[in-house]
Amino acid sequence: MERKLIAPTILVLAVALFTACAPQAAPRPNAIVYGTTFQPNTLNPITAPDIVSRSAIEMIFSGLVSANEKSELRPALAESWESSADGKQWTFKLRHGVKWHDGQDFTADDVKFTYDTVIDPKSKPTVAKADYAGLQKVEVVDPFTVRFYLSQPNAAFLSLLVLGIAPKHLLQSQDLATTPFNRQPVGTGPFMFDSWVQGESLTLKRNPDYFGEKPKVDKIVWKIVPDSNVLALQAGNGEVDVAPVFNPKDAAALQSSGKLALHETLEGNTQISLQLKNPLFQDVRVRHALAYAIDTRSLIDNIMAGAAVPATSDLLPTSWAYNPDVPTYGYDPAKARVLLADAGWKPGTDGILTKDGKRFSISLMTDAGHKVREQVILAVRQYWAEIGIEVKAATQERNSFIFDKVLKGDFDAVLLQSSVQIDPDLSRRFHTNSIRNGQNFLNYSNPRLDALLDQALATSDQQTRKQAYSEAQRILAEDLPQISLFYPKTQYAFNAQIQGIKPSPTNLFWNAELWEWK
Amino acid sequence: MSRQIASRAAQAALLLILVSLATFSLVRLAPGDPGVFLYGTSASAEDIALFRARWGLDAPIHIQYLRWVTNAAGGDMGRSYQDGRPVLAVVAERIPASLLLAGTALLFATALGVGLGIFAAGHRFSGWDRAITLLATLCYSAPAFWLGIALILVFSVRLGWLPSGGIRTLVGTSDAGDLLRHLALPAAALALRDVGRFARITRSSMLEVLAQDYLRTAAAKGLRSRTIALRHTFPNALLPVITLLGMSIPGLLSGAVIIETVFGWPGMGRLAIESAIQRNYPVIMGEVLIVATLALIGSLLADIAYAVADPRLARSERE
Repeated sequence: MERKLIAPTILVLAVALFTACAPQAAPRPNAIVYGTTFQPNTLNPITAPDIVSRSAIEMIFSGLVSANEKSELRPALAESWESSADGKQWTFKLRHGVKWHDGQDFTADDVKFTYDTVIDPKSKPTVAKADYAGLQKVEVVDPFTVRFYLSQPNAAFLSLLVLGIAPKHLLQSQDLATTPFNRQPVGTGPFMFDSWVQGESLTLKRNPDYFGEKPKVDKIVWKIVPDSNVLALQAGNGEVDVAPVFNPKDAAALQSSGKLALHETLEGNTQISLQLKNPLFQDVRVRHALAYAIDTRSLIDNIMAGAAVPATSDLLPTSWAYNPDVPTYGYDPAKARVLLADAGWKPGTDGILTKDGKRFSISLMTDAGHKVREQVILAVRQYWAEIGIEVKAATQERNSFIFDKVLKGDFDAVLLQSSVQIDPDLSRRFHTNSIRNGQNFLNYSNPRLDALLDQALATSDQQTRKQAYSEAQRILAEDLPQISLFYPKTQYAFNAQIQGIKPSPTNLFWNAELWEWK
Repeated sequence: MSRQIASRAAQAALLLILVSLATFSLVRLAPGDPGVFLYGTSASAEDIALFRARWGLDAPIHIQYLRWVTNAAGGDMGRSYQDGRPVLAVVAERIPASLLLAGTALLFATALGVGLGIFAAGHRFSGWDRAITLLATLCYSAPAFWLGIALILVFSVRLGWLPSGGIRTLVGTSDAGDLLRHLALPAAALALRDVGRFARITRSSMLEVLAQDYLRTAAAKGLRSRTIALRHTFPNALLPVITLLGMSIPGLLSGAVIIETVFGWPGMGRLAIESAIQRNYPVIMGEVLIVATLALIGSLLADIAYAVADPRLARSERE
């Protein structure tokens, strides 16, 4: 009889052992744990172009300027600046008494070193060199004054100076790709590097000598939680204090406990880019028809659970240059059919539109694994099928999708999410000059738009720029090289006891020094 | 015996070269590009080209392979594209976590699985036997991610007993007890599948041996059934179990890809996924080669254990 009890007894003992090890309730450490599915690649500001690395880097490093939640630029390491009348020279007065985390003094030499390295073709890899192509040289005027020389005026230039300044004394004559600095950074930002365990966590500690407002928490910890379902559970459970909510349908459940608060910010335009080299899309009536055929409202309600806003352009409604007053295309399949008929497309025997013996059959792709985008392409296939277009919907692993399809322009239509930039300049995606280096993979070319974009970069007057971008957005909405669907809301769930969190569209941590426990 | 080991070692060296060639070709023929991981959709052709030039990806592919082999032969497995650290360091720092998780799971799975298998064989066709067989089949066929999430829902969310992921408490105290608490769920999820495998194979192997005449003799002599099972049957039923153990050894390091992902366990399985997503070629190569080496060692050890467990094999080798 007693033998039968052995196994259950062992089981009970084992469970008791594990639970007995539970730590006693201790006072809450003055730290905030951020749960994330992503981890940085490197913590060196010069070599990190990706947004995940940069949001960690911006806590450790300061730039000459920094952006707030409205993408407005504020002084950081630079106290003030002025540009010459022709807009080609920018002079920055630097803050005095700033120290690197290792105690050395910050000077203009560090600024020159950072930007010299970025624009030097021999130093690689770095942040996107194309962004800094107009920067000719950087001159140290005195230890606290530095001057930038541009080949032509560039109103977006200031927004590029959020780049973290790196210490010359630690990085000169180092190989950027392999220097240990990439994992043990020394900056001037509100938080100092503490530890980084690959695949597990990144810990930053308070910098008591920060030149701005002193951080309120002792530590900020990034906890890597690779599975987004588990991350949602951990947010609900209190195992992490702040976490992005990946499935809009989780948001309500997380909030209902009362222990969590939600913060929303808009993400980049989720849009369908059309390959304009394809003769099928060269008639603007066809592009309009494709837009009229999609019920964006229904996509937002059913796929996004309401957590999105209809989109009109790559600029977010929060941008100062956003133009709300552009042509939009409400759901109207009848109108879509009329437009297609006007363009010469007639239904064939199988119901698919044909013109000159050619069937209207296209592929629509997106990156595999992104649940929302996967559902959207299936819905859009249905919408376009209703107006007589045959759509082959497919997904591909993200890396090869971007490299082999998007950047090579090898697609008919792709569903993408545009990245959000601090400056409203739209040249990278739509200027004719960007076709050459593959960034304008739509192959869109419109001299009138090119002129507007050039003109907007050549002036520093914000009102003039705003007018130019308003017009640019109107032209793009009319010409429709891409069909804007919606701006998804990024939702962050965070412990309701934390105050000060105010995510920007590009960075949750831009004001991390102000976060604190109530 | 030693002659056997020597010939196996020679085979192993050849196999490793083939593995490296196969991995290199597979990884490099796969679409995608490491630069894209960094620059994303706003990548310019220039940035991608500079990235490729920095890491020698612009050379002809056979030259790249020769360079890699030459360096690897000298112990230099290259550097991670991610942060430039040597591949060996990147891989080595992941080994302890995987070893701990998979080792604990294997230990539990073997002990529990073999025990259940012996018990089931001893009570063949009884209710117990059927229950164990059913349980073993369920454990073996439950998808790992489902099992993981189910354990988290019960023990972390519902009961609040154990943490749902990670390897230690990041903020506050972290000691051996803390490690055990973090280890419990992933190890259980990983072990449950293998319990099924070990129980099934032990049971069928035991049954095969139990049908032998000498065991009927032992029973006729009046030996206790427990003695028969443990002393006379089990050692002879051990061979398939040893094979299974030998096959499990590379798994100790290759990591449990899915369980490590569900539980955020920073081991080799996670590294494999991360480096594949990043197209971090040198790290993928390094990891595959290290795991392949261990697989070879594992099967060698299993062969030796065979010889020890079954003296007939060792003798036939000597003759």
